[in-house]
Amino acid sequence: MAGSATTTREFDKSLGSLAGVFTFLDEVLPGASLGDRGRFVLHLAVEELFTNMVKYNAGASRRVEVRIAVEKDRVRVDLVDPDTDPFDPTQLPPVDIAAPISERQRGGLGLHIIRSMADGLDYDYRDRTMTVSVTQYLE
Amino acid sequence: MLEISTSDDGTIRLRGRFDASQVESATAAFDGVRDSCTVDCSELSYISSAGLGLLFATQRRLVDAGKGLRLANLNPHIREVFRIAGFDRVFEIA
Repeated sequence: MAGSATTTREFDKSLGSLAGVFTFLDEVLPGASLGDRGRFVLHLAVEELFTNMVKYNAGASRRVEVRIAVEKDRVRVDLVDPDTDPFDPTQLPPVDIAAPISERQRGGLGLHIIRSMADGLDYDYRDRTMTVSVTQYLE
Repeated sequence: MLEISTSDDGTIRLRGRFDASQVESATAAFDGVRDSCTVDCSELSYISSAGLGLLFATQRRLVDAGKGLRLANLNPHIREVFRIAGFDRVFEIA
């Protein structure tokens, strides 16, 4: 896309990569007019999506590609697993946040939060490649 | 990086980022909490669902014993996360 710049880096599919993923975001995002909240949301969304891939993606790949595209009015971050089973985070049922503490379930909370805070969350799956994308508009 | 310290009055202070890579080390600290106390978040810059999960597990254990955590000085972004998670109903938030 004209007027956009995409930066890509690969990471081991492990929680030990999180610090590097955050560093990557911090290297690229200063070039975008996101504001503190926008940066917070992207850090949160990327962590939740990355850790989901670490925990749940079955398949042969041990790497996750992270692509950050800074466009005219938005930042889009794609997380790409090149060999995994499908799992669509945009289709999870909502979390019952009104349930009493004794009945609350922990699963799905991270995705619930990013679906509420991020401007966009998209999913694509083809030829065993999963791409999950989060979008945040610039200020 | 997350630093956890406890002051003489029992207040737990969180400093830094509470992400998934910090949960293992933080679990030992929160497993030791047996009484109601304040968690001072004035120097906590970030939290994800992994950190929320540990705080929630600690709160559920304490509430079962008639006690609980009181969270103080959350920055606006973290306060928004707690509200969206419904944790403003689970914790006392000052």
